[in-house]
Amino acid sequence: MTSLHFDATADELRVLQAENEDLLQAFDGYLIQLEQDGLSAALVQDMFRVAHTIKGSAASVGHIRMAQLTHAVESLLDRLRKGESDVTAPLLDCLFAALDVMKVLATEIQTGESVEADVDAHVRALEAWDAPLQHASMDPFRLVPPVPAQPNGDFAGIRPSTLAKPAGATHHILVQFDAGPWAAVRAFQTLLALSSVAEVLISRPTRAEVEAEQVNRRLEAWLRTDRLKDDIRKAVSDVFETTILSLDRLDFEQESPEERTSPPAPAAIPGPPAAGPDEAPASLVIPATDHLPQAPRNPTARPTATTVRIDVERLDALVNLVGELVIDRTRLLDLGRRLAAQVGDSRLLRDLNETALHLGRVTDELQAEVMKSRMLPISTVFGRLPRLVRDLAARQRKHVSLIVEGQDTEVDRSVIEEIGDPLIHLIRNAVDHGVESPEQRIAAGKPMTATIRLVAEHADNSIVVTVEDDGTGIDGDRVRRRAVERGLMTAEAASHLSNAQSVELIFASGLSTAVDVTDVSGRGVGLDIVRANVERLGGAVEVSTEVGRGSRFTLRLPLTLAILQALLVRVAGSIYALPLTSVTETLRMRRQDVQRIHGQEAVLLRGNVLPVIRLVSFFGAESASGDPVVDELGRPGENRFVWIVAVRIGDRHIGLAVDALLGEQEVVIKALGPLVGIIPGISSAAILGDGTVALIVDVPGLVQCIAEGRRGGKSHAHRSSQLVQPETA
Amino acid sequence: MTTILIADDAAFMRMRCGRLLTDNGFEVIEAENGREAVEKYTEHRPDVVLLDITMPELDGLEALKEIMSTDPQARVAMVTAVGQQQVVMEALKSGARDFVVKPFQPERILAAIHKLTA
Repeated sequence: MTSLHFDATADELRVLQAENEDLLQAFDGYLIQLEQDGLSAALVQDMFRVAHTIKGSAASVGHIRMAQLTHAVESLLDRLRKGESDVTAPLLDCLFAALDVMKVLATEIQTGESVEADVDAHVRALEAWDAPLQHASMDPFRLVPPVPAQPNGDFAGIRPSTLAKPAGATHHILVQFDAGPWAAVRAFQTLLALSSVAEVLISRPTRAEVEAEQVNRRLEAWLRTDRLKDDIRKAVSDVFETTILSLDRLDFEQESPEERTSPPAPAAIPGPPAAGPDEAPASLVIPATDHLPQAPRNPTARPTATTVRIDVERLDALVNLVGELVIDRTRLLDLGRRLAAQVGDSRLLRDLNETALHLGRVTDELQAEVMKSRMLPISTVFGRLPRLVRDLAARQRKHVSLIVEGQDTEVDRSVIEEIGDPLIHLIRNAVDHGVESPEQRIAAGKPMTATIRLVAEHADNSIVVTVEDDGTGIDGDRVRRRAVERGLMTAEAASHLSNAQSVELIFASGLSTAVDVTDVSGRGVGLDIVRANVERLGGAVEVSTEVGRGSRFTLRLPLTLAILQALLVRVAGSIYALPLTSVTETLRMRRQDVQRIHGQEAVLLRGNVLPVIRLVSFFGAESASGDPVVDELGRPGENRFVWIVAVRIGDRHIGLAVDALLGEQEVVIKALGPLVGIIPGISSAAILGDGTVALIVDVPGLVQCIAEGRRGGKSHAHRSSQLVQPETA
Repeated sequence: MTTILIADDAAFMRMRCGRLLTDNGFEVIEAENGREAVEKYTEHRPDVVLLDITMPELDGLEALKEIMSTDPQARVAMVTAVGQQQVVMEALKSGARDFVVKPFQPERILAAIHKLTA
């Protein structure tokens, strides 16, 4: 008994052991079925798959005798599958015998002890069916490398006749790569180099493993070539960072012509090996399994896995780290600018800037990749909607069919969490108000069953979801009348509205009625809240409709809520970030152009009145010196101009007066710490390149505060600068 | 004289590498993106191409494929950063002869070029 070493942890071996038992059990059943029912394509395919699975696992842990044997089984099954062999009693005997040996070999995994089994004889017997045809195959297992039965150097070598098929001699090569991240690529290069001078019969790690970067520092391969050893050496030495540890020609004694032309009879199944251990030439040096390089211990021991599951927290941590990198990049550029201001133009400085720019590009790519890894298909949200439609329609005795498209469209996790409520509302709205009763539909000459189409797609860095129904459409006149009834506007004002403007009123606060409240969302929120929430996230909701034909609501949200394009402004010494999605333009106005209209400051912009809100008085911030902020707009002489940022909330335009515009920047959103709590008008914060904190303005929230006559907390807004939470909530 | 085409979007890298090669007696042509690399290759048929992977317009891999389709004998070494192993393997499959890792040591670049021109 000799100890075996497998390239796998104890845990992995346990899994492999259990799996092998199952597979061998299944194979047993298939084989009996093959004997009873004869050949069927599906059955042979199943058997082939089992053998293939066992072979793959065996090869990956270094259970070479098992790999050899299963490969031979697989080859024979392949011939059956192709109709190149018939199912005969001797063939079945051969397979049964091989299966028994496989079962014995499987115990080696558990015991770690080499068992007495003449694998080679079985391989030969299996191959005998294979021999008449020469397969030129890419399968590296096509030819099995010689493997010692006893790792102590006492080889039960494979007989020359099974290995040394025409076209040259077999070689074994063992190479080592310099340590580091490029070992896998060097291994890949080595395999390519070897392929240019020889046929690579088998390699450890396999080519697939190499491509998956499952490479330790060594690679060994069995080759067949009629080229000289020096040619192989030359090819590999062209690969950098690669050392040939050994290269041996497996110089078997000359084959006898008889052996080559007459394969062993199929009937000669199990039995003592024709070639005894002493037939192996003394010069033959093949590393025993315990001396083989260790493959990296991948946790699953299944080289086929191409995806991994990652904890959301880890991804969030990654996003945060990338965020830090983005900050450093900005900071580096900033430093470069400041240095330039101090030392002027210099070669070093240009190099620094080049490097910073390059770093910036790499960081951008990194950021994009990380963000991509957080993407989820929107089907996670869409999934619950068909049931919702079904229930709603049933309750109202409507017939509705929901068509869903673009379920695979991917969005950031953060959006997935936010998009659900607005969507439910829009769907509910479509069933409740859009779709008519079956009687009405038939009367209108429409199909009895209404159709709601829910479509998700990507457009310009946004996710666009449309909810389209073929129902009654929205009657602008009715909405207008209702707005007047509810006192939202005068009849006079309403009469000036276009039809589209009237339809837009459905998003106005106070229009939805108790009739709108259904038990589905349980909250009866109106479209006004939907729009406000969506805009708070930097998105938009729009509607287009045609009376009698139906309505289409378009919901647009950014692909991620973790990063924001912002306009940075300064207000009383503090920096605020305004989401670019709400900014329509920036204006420089003369002070005297700011007028007071009905007690509200405003400017005239292209003939329209733009109400102006001073951020400084809203946030009640203090100036850097600690003095109470002087009303800057009112301060005579000093500021002849004021900067106004025009923002849009829904269809309302408002100007925000600020001290200075600092520029556009992409900022990574950081949640405000729990100690800060909710600050009216502020949604979150960002850390800028120079380390200062910018508060991100919640524009819709701010406007709502003003409408309700509230004000942002002075101390809150300032305190928050120190209490930004380092982690995204 | 042996001509080397350096394709890299970073002017700094082109400059540094170009200087090294000129000092060692090579003639240097520069391209600042993949598209330009393909054009310059077709125009000048350099002996060796050092092709950066991460480039605008046309990335290194695409540029490589175009170069290989115009000249299957092209001798291209990819210039890569750590983390681009998969792309490098893809490039090797597509005909790249070798690769150098940034930040590279001068002797490594020279050795790679000598091997490619041998």
